[in-house]
Amino acid sequence: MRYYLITFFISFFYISSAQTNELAIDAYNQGIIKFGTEDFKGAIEDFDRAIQYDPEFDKAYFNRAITKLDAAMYEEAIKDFTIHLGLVPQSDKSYFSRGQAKFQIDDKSGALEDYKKAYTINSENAEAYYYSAGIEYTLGNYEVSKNLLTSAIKSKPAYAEAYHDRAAAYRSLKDLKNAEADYREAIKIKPSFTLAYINLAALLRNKGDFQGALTEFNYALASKPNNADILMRRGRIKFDLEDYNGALADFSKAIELEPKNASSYSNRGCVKNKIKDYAGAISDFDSAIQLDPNFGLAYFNRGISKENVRDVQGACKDWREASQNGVIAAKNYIESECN
Amino acid sequence: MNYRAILILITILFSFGLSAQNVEFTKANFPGAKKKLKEAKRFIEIGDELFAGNEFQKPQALDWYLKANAFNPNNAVLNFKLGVSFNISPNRFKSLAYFKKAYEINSNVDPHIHFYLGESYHLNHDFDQAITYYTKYKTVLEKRPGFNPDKRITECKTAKELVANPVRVIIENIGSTVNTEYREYGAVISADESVMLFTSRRPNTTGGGIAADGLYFEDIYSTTNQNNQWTPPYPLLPPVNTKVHDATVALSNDGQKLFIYSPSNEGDILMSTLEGDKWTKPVEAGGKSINTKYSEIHACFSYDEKSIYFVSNKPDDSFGGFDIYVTKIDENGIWGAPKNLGPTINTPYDEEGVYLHPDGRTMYFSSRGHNTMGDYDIFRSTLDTLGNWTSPENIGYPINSADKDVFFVVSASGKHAYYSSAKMDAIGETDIYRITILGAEKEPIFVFDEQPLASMLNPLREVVAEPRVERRFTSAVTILKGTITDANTKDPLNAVIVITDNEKNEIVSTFQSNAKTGRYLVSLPSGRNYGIAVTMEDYLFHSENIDLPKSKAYQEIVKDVELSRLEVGKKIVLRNIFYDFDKSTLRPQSIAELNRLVTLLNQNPTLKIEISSHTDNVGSATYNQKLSENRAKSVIDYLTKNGIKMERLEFKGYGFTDPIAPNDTDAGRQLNRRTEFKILSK
Repeated sequence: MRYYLITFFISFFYISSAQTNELAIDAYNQGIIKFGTEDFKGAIEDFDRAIQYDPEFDKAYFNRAITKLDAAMYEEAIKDFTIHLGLVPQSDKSYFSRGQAKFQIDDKSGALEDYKKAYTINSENAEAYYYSAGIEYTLGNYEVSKNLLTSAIKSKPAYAEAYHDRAAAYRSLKDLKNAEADYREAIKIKPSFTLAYINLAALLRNKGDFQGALTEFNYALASKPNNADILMRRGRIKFDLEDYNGALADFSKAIELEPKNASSYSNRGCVKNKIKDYAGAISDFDSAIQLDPNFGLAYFNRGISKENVRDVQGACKDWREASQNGVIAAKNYIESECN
Repeated sequence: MNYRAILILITILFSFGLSAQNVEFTKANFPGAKKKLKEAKRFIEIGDELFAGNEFQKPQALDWYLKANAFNPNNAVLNFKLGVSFNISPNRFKSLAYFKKAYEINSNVDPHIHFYLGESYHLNHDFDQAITYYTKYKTVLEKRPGFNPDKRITECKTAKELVANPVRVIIENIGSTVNTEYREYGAVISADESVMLFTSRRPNTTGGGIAADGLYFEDIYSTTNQNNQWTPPYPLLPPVNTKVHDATVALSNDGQKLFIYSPSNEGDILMSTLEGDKWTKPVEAGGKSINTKYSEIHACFSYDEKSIYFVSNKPDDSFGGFDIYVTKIDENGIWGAPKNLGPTINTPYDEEGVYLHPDGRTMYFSSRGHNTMGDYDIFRSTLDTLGNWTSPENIGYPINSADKDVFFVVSASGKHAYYSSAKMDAIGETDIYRITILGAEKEPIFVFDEQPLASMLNPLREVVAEPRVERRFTSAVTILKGTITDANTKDPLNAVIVITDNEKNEIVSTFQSNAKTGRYLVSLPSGRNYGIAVTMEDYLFHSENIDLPKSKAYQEIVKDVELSRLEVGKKIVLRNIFYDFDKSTLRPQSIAELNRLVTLLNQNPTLKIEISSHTDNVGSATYNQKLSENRAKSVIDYLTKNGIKMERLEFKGYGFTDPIAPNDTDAGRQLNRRTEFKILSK
């Protein structure tokens, strides 16, 4: 999304006007070409030169800021956006982009302030509403988030991401009916929207509609049959539906596709534990721990399987390791089983 | 090889393929082994004589039959006799091989062979085969008394269900420090599992005598738990262990009282008490209320030692066979008339091995009735809110088996249980096993990244709910234990510990600390407010208050108490004196503590004391000063009303001027709100 905006802005500012110093314009235009080839260093040098030739060249400041934003030079980008806003105080795009830079350095309140400026200046700035909503959501302000997303959708009616995120806000507000409707609208607008399928399925699962969730994952996998993440999630639904062989098949395929994913092994271990293949489960948890030696839940789970083969000492050792790696639930087991 | 030889060989092979031939003990079958044949026949004769004898002689037949069988393993009748002999041995499951062989050789070897076969398969947990043979036995018109195939088929069906849903336990042999090649059984433990007593039939039995059954006489042994290891056991000295049978039955929660089985008078229950480090001469348990001319074979105290539950086969008031009865002690220390626990617990079949858990509301016992999976199974029943025992619940496989499962004791924590069993891995014929109760099966947790927003780049981890931890044998009991010593000399004291239910204002139980060690242990079931007073002549008493809500799970509190002699200037906190909120009115829950004070003053008529009351620092100094004075005065009023002369008493209110803890926490303020008494002169 951000790349799309940047390309748009930079194309817009590609000019050959006689009103500015010609050298400045040449350097500025070369900077745009280099930005297009992702030569951020070269682009910044060119925009630097353009500004040297013309210190009032507002577009050069803006483009240099955008380039720095993409090059993850957030503090530098913020400075350039600020200079640009000094020259063009009503630039909603500059406020919006500075907000994005502030968000990247975890200055959420600064980002919110800038997004608000952006949509105040331009009430049609759907992205400013959208990203504001994201921050409000993370702050737990679900109602505010939902209203901002409604404004985003009003400004941009086919905004699939906004529908998706508004569904999240509805979910948090326990309005599952509207949440489901928004997920479905997001998928309708953008049938390739994998995350919408995943979250719709999660909603259905939480409602206890495992079959409905399975259907959504099947849809998602139809277009992306080799997506390990979706396969794992479908595996979990199959587990819920007590189709343990189906679950095992999905987790195994996910492991085949991403053999370095520790979570896949741990999750397959959970299924094996359920079907009382404790040796198989322990072996999967071993693999998960080998891939990620700090994987607390894998230790926690392995402890459970070890207890199931009556290796209480081994189980306690694993629960202690899990507890040290942040699994709070492991403490209960240590207290009740290991003393 | 000629044709004849081939024909004979084919015939032999064919006949072996069909079934084994019966080989009689005849000269024709054993040409050239005349001496050995004669010897084998003699072995059978000795076995038969023993088998026809009493219950002690019968099991001794097995060894003789085995010797004869080593000479000729293909005799149907001998194999049948071996099956029957194993069937009455501790290793009953071994009977199957012999019954199968007998049946294979001659399916009509005995009219009851189908029942025996069913029983052997049953004991080996092959329940389908067992049902097949029990079903065949149903067609036999003249059944042997006690051979009830319908009941056994029901047991097999129960067994199949229980085996399909095993309880989560670890059953471990407690090891060769305790278990030997001889029989060990009847393990009894103190509530905190620190002491175990058990019965064994090993060669160092007192007197070294051999009983009628050919085994060493039973003796009682003791072992202690040190760092989760049982120490080498030692036999209890006479007069507990004698030259004849002495067997454990039950141990009180504090390990200070032992019930012993005595075979005299058809079976009686005796009791010995640990005085210092010596067990007293066993006397009849429960006065005259328990033992009769019939068999009393098991008994157990309730947690407060105010009731004794026991097993007897006396015919009056019985539901059949051995039943469980209860007798209660009255205020004068007299044990009352026994009462049958009724048909919820007792069945027309035998009940045995009753055990009352320290939580005061759970009973374990064994029964051949109810929904047993075979022979005796262990059942659990709990007291409901009306004081009735609930319908017993089978505690499940693999604790229970198709064989005899009895003498089950559970630690106060509910984590461990002990019993004896004749398992495959036993060191001797029967060994003591520890059961670790694992509780509910735990569910592993899946892990997925949750990404609720498309706008967020960093996914959030799925929030994991904390699973609940539940023990199968939940135990809502607090064990209070420690040592009582003299505050100056640190010598252990043989003090009296009185537990009072403060709400009901009644004494729950009275115990004594061990004179030699000063150790004490009391179990306090949850759901009450307890006043605990430690008293001893010539000493100031010590009081504690423990509030245990109903939901309070198992805990152990170690409380060492130092008692001070009655000396001028000594003072104690009266922790069980309660006032109405912000008032000086004494609550009824204070009466037990106040009466202790009255008793102390009556026992020491020259004693002069000061009663003082203290508050926390909430409120003004003037208000608290007045409140504390009035409260101290209330105590004085009670004492004078109960006969203590005023000239022996002084009272003082200290307000919050003499705190014993910082006033900045609830706990500190609670400690500061107190009533004390001090000895002014003797």
